[in-house]
Amino acid sequence: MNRIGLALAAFLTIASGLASADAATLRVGIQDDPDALDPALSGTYAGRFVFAALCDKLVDISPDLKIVPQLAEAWDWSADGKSITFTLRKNVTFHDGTSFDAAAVKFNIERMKTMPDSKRKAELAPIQDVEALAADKVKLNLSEPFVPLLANLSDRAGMMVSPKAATEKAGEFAAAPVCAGPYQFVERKSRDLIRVKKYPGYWNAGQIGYDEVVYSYVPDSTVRLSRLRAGDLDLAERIAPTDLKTVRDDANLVLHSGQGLAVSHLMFNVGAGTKADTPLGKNSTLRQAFELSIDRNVINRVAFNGEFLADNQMIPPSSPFYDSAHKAPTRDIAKAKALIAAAGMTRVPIEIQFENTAGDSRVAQIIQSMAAEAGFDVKLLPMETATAIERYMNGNFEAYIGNWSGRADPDPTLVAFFSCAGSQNVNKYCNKDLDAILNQARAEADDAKRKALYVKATDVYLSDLSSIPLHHPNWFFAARKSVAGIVMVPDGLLRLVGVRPVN
Amino acid sequence: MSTIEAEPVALPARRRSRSELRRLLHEPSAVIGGAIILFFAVLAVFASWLAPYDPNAPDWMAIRAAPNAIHWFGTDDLGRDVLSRVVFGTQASLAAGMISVTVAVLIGLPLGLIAGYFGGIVDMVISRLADALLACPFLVLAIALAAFLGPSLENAMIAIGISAVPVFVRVARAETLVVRTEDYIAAARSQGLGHFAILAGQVLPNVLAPTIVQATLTMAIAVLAEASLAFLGLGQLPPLPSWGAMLDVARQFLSEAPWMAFWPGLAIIALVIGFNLIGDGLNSALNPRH
Amino acid sequence: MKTLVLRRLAVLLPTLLLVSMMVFGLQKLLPGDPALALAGEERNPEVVEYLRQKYRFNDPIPVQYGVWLKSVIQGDFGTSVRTRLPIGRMLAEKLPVTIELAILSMLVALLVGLPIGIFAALWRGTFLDYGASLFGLAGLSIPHFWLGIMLILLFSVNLGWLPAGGFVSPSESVGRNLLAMLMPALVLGTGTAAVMMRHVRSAMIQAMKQDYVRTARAKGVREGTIVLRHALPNALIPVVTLGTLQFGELLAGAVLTEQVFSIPGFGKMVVDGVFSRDYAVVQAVVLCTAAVFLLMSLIADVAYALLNPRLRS
Repeated sequence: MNRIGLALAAFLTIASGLASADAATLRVGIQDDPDALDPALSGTYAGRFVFAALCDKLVDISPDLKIVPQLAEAWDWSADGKSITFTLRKNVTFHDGTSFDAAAVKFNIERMKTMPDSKRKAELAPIQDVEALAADKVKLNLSEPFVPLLANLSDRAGMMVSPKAATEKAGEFAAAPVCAGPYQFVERKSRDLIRVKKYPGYWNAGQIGYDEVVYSYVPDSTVRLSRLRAGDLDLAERIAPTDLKTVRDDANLVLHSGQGLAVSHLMFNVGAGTKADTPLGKNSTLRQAFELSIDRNVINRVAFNGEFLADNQMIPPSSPFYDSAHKAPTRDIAKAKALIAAAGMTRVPIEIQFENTAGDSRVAQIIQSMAAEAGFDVKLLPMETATAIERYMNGNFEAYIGNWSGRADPDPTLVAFFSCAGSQNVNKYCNKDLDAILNQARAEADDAKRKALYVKATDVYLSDLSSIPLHHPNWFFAARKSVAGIVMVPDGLLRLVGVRPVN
Repeated sequence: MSTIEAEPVALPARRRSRSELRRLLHEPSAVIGGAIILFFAVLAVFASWLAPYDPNAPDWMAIRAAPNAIHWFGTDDLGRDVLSRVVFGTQASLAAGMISVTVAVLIGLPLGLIAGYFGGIVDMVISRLADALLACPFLVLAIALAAFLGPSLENAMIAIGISAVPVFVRVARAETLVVRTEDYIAAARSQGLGHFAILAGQVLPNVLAPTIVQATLTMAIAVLAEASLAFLGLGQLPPLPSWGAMLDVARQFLSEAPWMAFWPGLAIIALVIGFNLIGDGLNSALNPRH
Repeated sequence: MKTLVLRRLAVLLPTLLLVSMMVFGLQKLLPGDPALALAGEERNPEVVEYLRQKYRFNDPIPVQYGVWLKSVIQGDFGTSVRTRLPIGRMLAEKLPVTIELAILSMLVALLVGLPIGIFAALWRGTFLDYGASLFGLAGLSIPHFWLGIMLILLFSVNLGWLPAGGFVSPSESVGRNLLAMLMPALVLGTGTAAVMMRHVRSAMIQAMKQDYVRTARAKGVREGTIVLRHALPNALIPVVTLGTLQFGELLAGAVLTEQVFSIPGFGKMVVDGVFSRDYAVVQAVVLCTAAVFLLMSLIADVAYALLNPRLRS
C-alpha cells in the first residue's frame, strides 16, 4: 500500500511539475458550460463569466453597485431624461485591430435591437435611435425617461463586439467572438474548455497580470474544489456552501465571498389559468400564514450551512434601494394557524414545483416539513429543468421555487415579476397601484426620491405576497494563494483587470 | 443488457416437472439468493414496524449526524434517520425490480413468440425493432422515456420496463425458433389446433423457463437502473426515500457525511446480488447445459 | 462467411435508420419547449417565436426528421442549438476521450477477468474459485456510480492520491491524463471484468472436459501444456466475442461514470443533451454509439465464426 502511495506521489509531483511550467496562465474552473459566446445571444451566467475576460462594456458596476466608466469615460443625461450622451474612451481597439468609436456603438446597439434571436431586446427597448455625434460622442435617444438603462448597459447589452467581425462572420460569430476586452479568444473545446490570451492592444493592458486564461468546465462542485486543491486549477467559482469549511481550512487557498444580486423565492400562481384556483392562490391572508409557518434561517442553515442571506425581499440588501424597514417576520405557528382558521380552513393543500437540483430539492423538503406544522399539506413536484421552464412560463404550477439571477438596478427585477405585463410575471399577479409606482420610479433620476418609491413598492408586494422571497445566495470563489487582486462584485463575475500572480 | 442473456434451451415441456423445484433447492446460489430477497421483502412489507423512525421526519438540530446510539446509520442532510430511510427505500427498489421486469415480459414475451413462430415479414419487423432498441444505449433510452413520462417511481418503472423489452423478445424468439421444428408442434398443427392454441399450449411452456431465468437476471439490472434514474432525479418523488436518490444527495457530502453514501449503496448491492444469485441458481436448475 | 458479413451489413443501415427515427420521435415527444430553454432568462416572446421558426420546432415531426436526415446524409450533423458549435466537431473532440476510457477499462477487465476466470476454472471448488465467484457477483451488482463515489472517498478525499475527477488532455500531460482516467477505468473495468471472468471460467471448465484434453492427458502431456495449448485457445473464443460486444457497450454505457468523475465524454454529452433538449446532439451521439455497437456485434459474430471451426461449415 505504502509503496503504491509513494509511487503515486512521485508521479503526481512529476506531473504537477510539468504543469506549472507556464506560470502566467490562470486556470479557472466553472460550473456550467457557457452557451453561445455572443453577447447578443448569451443567456447564461457561465457565458457572462467568460465575457468578463473577452468583452468590455460601455459602463461597469462597482462592488457597491455604482455605475463606473469602462469603454465610456463619461455620460450625461438630458434634462428631460429622454436622451443620454456618452463620451467614449479614445484609442480603444477590438481584438481584430479595428477601432472602437461612436459608429461601433451605434452598430452594436442596433445589432442587439434587430437581430431576430437577440436576447437583449427587452433591456434596450426604450432606446429609439442612436446618433454618432463625433468619433468619441454617441447619443442614445429614448422613448421615455429610463434611469435603469445604465445598469442594463453594465451587462451584456453594453458589450461591444467588432462590427467588422460581426458582419463578416454573422452566424459563426459565437464560435470565435471578437470584442474589446482584456483577453482575446483563442479556442473553445466544447464541454471542456475555453482558452483566451492577453490582448496586447487593450486600453488598460498594464493592469493585466496573466498572459492566458483557461476556463475549464467542471460541473461538480466537489470535483472543482478537489482540482483546485490539487493545483490543477487556480480559481474555482461557485463553491458549494457545504464545501466552504474545506476551503477555509486549506492554507493554500483563499476564500473570496461577496453578496449577490440573485434571489430565490416561492411564487404562488395567483391568476394564471386553472392552477391559480387554489386556496393559497386566491387568498393573500393564507399566503401570509404560509410565510409565518416557515423559518428562513432554518432553511438557510440546513440547506446552505447558513452561508446564504435569509431575507424577505426581491432586492438584495447590497442594493442602495433595499428597504431595511421591512423586516422578515419571525416564524409564528400559532399566528399562522389563526390566520388559516380565520380563512375558514384547517388543512390547506398546495403543490410546489421546482427544478430537481440539489439546493431547490432541499429547500422544498424543508418548507414542506415546516409548513405542515401550521396546517399546509405540501405536495412536492420536482421537474427536470427543460420541463420546469416550460411549465413555469405557461403558468402551469400552483407554486414554484423561482431562482432569479437579479440585476444591478431594482427596476428590471421588480417590473419583471410584479408589473401586470412583466416578462416574469408568469403567476399573473396584477396591482395597478404597484404598476404606477414602478413606472414612476424608473423615470426618477433623483436617488433619494427613487428609493422612497421603491419603499412604497416593497410595502405593496409584501402585503399582496404573490411571491415569498426566501434568501439571496452569496458568491463564493476559492482561489489559490498565488492569485492576487480578486475583487468580488455583486454580479458574481470575475473581472480580470488587476488580477495577477504572486508568489 | 445483452451480456447476461440466458442460453436457449429446447426441451419438451413435459419432461420437466416437480424435480425442478427440488433441483433448485439443491442449488446453493438459489437458496442464498432467495434468502436475501426474502429478507428484503420482509423489510419492504413490514417497513413501518421495522424502521425505528418516520423516514421522512426531519430533525433540524441533528443534520448529518454521524452514526450513534440513537441513529445507528446516522442522519442525512435534513436530519432524517438513514436506517429508516434505507428500510423504507427497499419498497421502491423491490417494486422497481419486479414491476419493470413484469412490464418488459408482458410486452417482450408475446412479441418474441409471434416473431419466432410466424417468421417471415412479421419476424423481420419485430426483430429489427428489437435490434434498434437494443442498439440504443439502455440508460439513455430509460432516461429519455422517464423524462417523457414525467418524474415518479411508476413512470421510472415503465421506462425501465420498455427499455428491457428487446431482451425478452430475443430470448422468446430464439426459444420459439427451436421449439417450432419439434415433432409435437407439427402433430398439434395436423390435429387442427389454431395458432393461438399452439402458441399458448405448446410453445409458451417451453419458452417460460429461459424467460424466468432472464427475468430474474433482468430484475438485478432493473434495480440498478432505478437507482441510476433516481440518481439523476428521475424517480421516486421527494421526500419519499429511494436508495438511488439517497446516493445522489450523499455525493454532495462525501467528505463530511460518508455514511449517507455507504448504507444505501450497500443495500443496492445486496439486493442486486440476491437477484443475480437466484438467476444463476435458476439457470443451473432449469438449463441442463450448465 | 462473405454472405454473413454482407447480410449483416445490409441490415445495419435500416437498423440505424430505425434507431434514429425512434430516438428522434421520442425526443420530440419530450415535454419542455426547447425554444423556451434557449431564449435566456427573460424569454422574450419574439425571440422564442423566432427560435421556433429557425429550428423548425413548429413543423410536423416527420418533416423535422426529414430535414435532419437529409443533412446527416450530406455529412452534416448540424449545430448544437445551445452552444452554436458544429456537432461534427463536438463529436470529434469527445470520441477520443470516450475511446480512451473504453480501451483503458477493457485493459482493466482483461488483466483482472482473464486470469481470475482461468484459475477459478482450473482450481474449481477451491477457495479461490469461491472468491472468484464472489468477485464476479459483486462486479455485476455494484452500481458504477456508487463504486465511483467510494473510490473518490478513499483515494481523493481521504488519501489524496488521485484527482477526484475531471479530464486532462493527453496533449497537456500524459501522466495527469492517465491519473485522471485511472479511477473511471477501474470502475467501468470492474463490471466488465466480472462478466469476462464468469464467461472465461465456464468456457474453461467446458474446454477441460473435451475429448482432446482427455486424449492429451492419456498421452501423458503435461498439465500446463494441456491448459496453454489446448484448453485456453478454445476457451478464449467466447471471450473475443464478449470482449468486442462489451467494448461497444463501454462506449455508451459510461453515462453515470462520466457524470461522477466529470469526464467530458459521449455519455455526459448525450444525457446533458436530453436534459437541455439539444436534440441534434442526442441524435448524433446515439447514432454514433448505435453504429459502433452494431459494428462491434458484427465483428463479434465474424470473429466467432472464424474462430469456431464447427460453425464454419
